[in-house]
Amino acid sequence: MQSVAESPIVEPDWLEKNLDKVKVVEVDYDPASAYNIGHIPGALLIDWKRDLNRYPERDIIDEEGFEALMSRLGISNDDLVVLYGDYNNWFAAFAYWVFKIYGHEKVKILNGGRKKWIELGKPLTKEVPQPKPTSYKVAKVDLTIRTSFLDVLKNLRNPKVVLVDVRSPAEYRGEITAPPEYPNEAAQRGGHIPGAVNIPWAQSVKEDGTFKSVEELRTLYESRGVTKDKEIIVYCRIGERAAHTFFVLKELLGYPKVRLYDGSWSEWGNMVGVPIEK
Amino acid sequence: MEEKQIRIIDIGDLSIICSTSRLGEIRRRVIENLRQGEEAMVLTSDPETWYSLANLGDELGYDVLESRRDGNSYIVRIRRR
Repeated sequence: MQSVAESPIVEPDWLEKNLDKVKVVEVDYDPASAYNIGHIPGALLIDWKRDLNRYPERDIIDEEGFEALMSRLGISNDDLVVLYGDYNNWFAAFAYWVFKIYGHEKVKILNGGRKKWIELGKPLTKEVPQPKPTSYKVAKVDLTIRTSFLDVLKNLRNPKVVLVDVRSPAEYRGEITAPPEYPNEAAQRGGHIPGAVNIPWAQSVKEDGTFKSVEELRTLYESRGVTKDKEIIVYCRIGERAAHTFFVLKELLGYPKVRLYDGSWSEWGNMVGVPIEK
Repeated sequence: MEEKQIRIIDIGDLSIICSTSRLGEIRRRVIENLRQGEEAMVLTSDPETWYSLANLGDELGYDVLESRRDGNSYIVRIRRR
């Protein structure tokens, strides 16, 4: 069993006892119905849409944007940051990936996220901390964990590369192109990237939202040809569910080459002339 | 004597719906289906959805009459204002 220092996740009991030793950050897609009505005492907020995305471009924040965000949140380069959030930690996992791109090494995810914390009856507060700003500096940028449309296209028939589509089977088969609640986010076409295997993100967690054991996870992915010796590209619709699987493969299973295609289906499914399978 | 029927609304688990707003979903699935003053027993299997239901009354215009857990089910009894 890994120690807390070695593990990429922390458990709720550990976090409750160590709240004063870490920087806890809730990463929400929907803070109005999450952080704003109750969060872990001392937790800071990252609003996924506002804080991690760059507008009007469709991109993640750049190096300067990350430095500004960390500085505003009072996070220093050496701080141990624990991320958790709404929607099954999808957006916390996305934030984790951004932290890794910008070289913040001491970052972990709360196992089970907001859902598990509430289920356990752990304390929540509406009190918003007022952190003292820092002067955060990005020391290195690692873009080897991100991939682009062109790179995916180039590797379509590469036997060393495995594409993992983590969306629901209905999305993979092209029966739906977006959740019914958000018809405006639909892609022009339904289906999946040719050759991709469908392993929905939810297969990596237990009913309570905590991760399955490493043995179970290894069996799940290896049985579908997603093995450590391959280069793995994960995608979903906008990148948040794929970030969850990125975390599982890269951090929990220790796969060396895992990249997130954050353009995902909302990019691929709208491109002119690219191949699609159903 | 007429027995008062309370409406039961099972909203499932809102945390598995990709990229939606819980606030909007609760409004659409629960509040818009209730008349002014009508009560409902709202059920969910998700603790996060439950917490939201129990704490969004002011924003969405309902009073929380009861909020409890029963095994793996979470229950919030509300009355639309």
